[in-house]
Amino acid sequence: MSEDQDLQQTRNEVKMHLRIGVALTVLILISIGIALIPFNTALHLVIGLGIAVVMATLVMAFFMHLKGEKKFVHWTMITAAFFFVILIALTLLAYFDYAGSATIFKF
Amino acid sequence: MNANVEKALETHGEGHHEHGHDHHELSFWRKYVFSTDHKMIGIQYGITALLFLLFGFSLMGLMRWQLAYPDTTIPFFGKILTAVLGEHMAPKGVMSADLYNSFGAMHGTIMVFLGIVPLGFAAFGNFVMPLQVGAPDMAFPRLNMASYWSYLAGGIVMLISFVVPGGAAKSGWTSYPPLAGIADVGPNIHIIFNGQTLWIIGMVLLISSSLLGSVNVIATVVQLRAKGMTWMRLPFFVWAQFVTAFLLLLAFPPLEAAGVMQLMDRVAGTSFFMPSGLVVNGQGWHGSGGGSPLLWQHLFWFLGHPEVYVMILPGLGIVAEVLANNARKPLWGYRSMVWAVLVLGFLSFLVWAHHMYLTGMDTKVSAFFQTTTIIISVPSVIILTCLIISLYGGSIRFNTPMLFAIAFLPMFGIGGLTGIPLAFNATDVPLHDTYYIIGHFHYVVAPGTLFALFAGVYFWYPKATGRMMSEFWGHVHFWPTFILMNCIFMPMFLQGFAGVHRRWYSGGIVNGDALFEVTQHVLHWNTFMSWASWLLAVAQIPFILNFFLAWKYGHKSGDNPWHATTLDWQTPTPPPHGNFTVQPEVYRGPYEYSVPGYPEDYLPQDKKLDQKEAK
Amino acid sequence: MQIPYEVEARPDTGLYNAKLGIWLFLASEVMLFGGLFSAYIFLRIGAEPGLWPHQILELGPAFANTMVLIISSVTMVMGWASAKLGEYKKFKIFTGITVLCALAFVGIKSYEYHGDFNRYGVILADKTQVTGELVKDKTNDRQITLIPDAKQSTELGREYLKKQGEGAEKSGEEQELAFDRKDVVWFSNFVPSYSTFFSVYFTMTGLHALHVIGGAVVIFYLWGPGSRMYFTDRKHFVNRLEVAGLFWHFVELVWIFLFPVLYLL
Repeated sequence: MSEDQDLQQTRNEVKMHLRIGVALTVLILISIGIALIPFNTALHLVIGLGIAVVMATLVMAFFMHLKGEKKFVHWTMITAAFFFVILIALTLLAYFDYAGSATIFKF
Repeated sequence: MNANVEKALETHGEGHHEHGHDHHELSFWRKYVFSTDHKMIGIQYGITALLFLLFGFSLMGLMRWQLAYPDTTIPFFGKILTAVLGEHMAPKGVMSADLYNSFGAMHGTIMVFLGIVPLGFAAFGNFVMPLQVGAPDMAFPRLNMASYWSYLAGGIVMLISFVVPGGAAKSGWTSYPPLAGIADVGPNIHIIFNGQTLWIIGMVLLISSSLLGSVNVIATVVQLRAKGMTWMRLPFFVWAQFVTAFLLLLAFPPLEAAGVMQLMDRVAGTSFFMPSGLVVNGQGWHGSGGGSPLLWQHLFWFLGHPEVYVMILPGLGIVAEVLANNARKPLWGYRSMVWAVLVLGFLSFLVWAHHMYLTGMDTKVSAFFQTTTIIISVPSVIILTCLIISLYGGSIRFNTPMLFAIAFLPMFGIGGLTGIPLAFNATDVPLHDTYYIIGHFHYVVAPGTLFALFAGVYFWYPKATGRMMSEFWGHVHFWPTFILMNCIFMPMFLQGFAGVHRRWYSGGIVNGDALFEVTQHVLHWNTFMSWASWLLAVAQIPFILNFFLAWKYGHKSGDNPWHATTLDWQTPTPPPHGNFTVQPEVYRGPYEYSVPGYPEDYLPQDKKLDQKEAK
Repeated sequence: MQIPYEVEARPDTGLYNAKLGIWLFLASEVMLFGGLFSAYIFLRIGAEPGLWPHQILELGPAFANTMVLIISSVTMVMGWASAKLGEYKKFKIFTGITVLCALAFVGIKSYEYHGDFNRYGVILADKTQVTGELVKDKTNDRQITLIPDAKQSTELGREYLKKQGEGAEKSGEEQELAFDRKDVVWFSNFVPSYSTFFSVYFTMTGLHALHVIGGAVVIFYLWGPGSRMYFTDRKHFVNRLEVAGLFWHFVELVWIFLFPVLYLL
């Protein structure tokens, strides 16, 4: 896009950044609030991490301008995220698939 | 004459006086020591890495005495070891078990992290790749300099670890806890300046150096390709470096994290990898416990497996360049090779636990890793097959780089094929941690990658120095090296089948008898292999002399002695700062050799053809 | 000798070199912190049942730090936008606030670590863990005395406290619990070696804090000595701010995951 259009877009983004900041604050307060209510641990994990993922998406899309960025950058981060998931998932698979040993978790 | 060379002579030739452009003369320090020029940095990496390879090789030379003639004084060097490292490590010039273990661990660490990878990826990548893509330098020259100095710092830390009290790290190049958590600890041993802790610090410096380098390589390939240099016109060497950089970028950090954790275990008393109930020297270990030694293994091998592809891919890239050039025909199956190397890079992240089959894993997990490991052999075979077929119908020139490149093919083949039994859990169980493994990986790296790197040195030496290395002494280097490599590593498969363990410090012999009777019949190979390794050391002398003497006395090479098509050979020799005086423009693929109808048997990528010639 | 696309974007990728470079670096940082998060997961699932603490850390300083980082993220991107739009004063103010926030983060974290070093825990032979404040003058070779935390972070700890509470007389003072050294299997303040939870907590937050300091140094440089480039080559300078901003937002991203994982879950 032209120089002027680019500058105008930046001007428009200022308000949006403030709104994202407010959204992040609200989400963190919700996160803390929910954490202080005792209920099923597994559900806590899902909700807590879920809120974190939403917050992360907001930061990445708007503060880091991923929304509107070129494909190569998207693919680099997707690849990194994919291999991170592999690291966790396959190691978890290895841990939960131990050959019979009952004491394996008693490190 | 090439347009670039013409232009260079015009502006920088004799009689040229005016300075329209910034033509500052750099001081000695800025030009040769603290350089930001990729060519100088490439040479710095290259010479440093070759020296570390020699040092790592020497460690093994000493170890092989202990294997051939256990518990006897090492001739000549035994006295030196005792003097430098002390009576505990080398009592009366005899290699102690501790010394053997520390030499073993450091041989692996130095060869992999200070030798092969810096030479293959950093040295050749830095020197050749920007030239081949048509760039004036790497994308981030100052970062490049920082990565070299980080590497050197890491190397120096590793060397210092030999002479601190307690000696160098001795828990294997794999540094498995709990041993690595409690080793090199004692009354006279410093909490930080001990071998194992210095190993971790050295690794952190090396990993940081790698990360900076890989960012640079990827950014350069993506952003600084010359006009007309589309992805599918890139030399295969560039593709190989590109994938290698991604492997380093994404696989090294978990090991860095693990290194930080192991450092915390050793220095801050944490129990990341230290299990509960540990007993050391008859007493309960003092930490909190609750840690997991397996966690280290997962994080280590998550890097460890991609690392072996980091070691082989630059070599494959070099062989591709040398083969195409000296067969005077295009690479067969270039597109397949490109897709294969991309798939190989991706799959390399999914196979790591095949190094961990003996940790008690159950069938579901091992089935997954066995499957991915077998699948990954497919792209490797595709690449090797394409390289072999590339020779068919070629007009082959048997110069020194070509000898090494051709020899690479069957050697890498043996290395790869001997890996097949290791991919399967059932056949890996008896072979794991035996000499079979050592034979397997050395075949891939020593007569494999190292041959490719030798080919690269002989091939690109003229571009860096303007002189040819001696062909005669190149042949004298090649033939004994090729034969002796096989003498050293082939018998290891026999020993491995018999069950000879990879880390026995006395060659499997105790008080003149075999430690385990089943291995008795193969132990005699130790002497044979040791003599082969010492002769191999002697066979490297022509190379070392050739390398340094040719700089001054070698035949002048001109700009394109090999009549090559890629952009690196279309520059003046040695290339000036900024590489290309005229911005190159690329019109065709990288391997236009023996083009029908064209008078020369090579057509450079950037040669502009007028209407008549283009027909 | 000029490196192409240092300032102007390359048409087919749409990126200038440093932006690609920083995204690649951030990909590697994802794997670095990923390695540490994987350690957290495996240490937690492998821990002795009942010993892994739940919400043992003070929420106050951590919440303050979260707000500090969110504010600094907003001001960082505003600073970049101001520089891009040619508003020098605003750039200085916003970027300056970012640096101050970074320093505040480090300050609050130091205060938090100091608080941790002054809390103690005791583990008994039956795996009961009781945490609290140490009563120094009633702690010696034979016994350890703690003022227990009202909210214990383990099930066994909570039960122990309830049992003690049943028999004790409720005076106006804080309840003190004395432990015979013979019954105590593990006693320490909250340092990395206390337990695998604290190992991973100190290591992750420590490494994160180092990244905060690193980022602060770079942003300070761009605010101060480096801001000269605003006047000599504004486009290049704005790019540098953008790259620094990307790093800074990543640092915030890591905290967005660290906070719930270590403090809430």
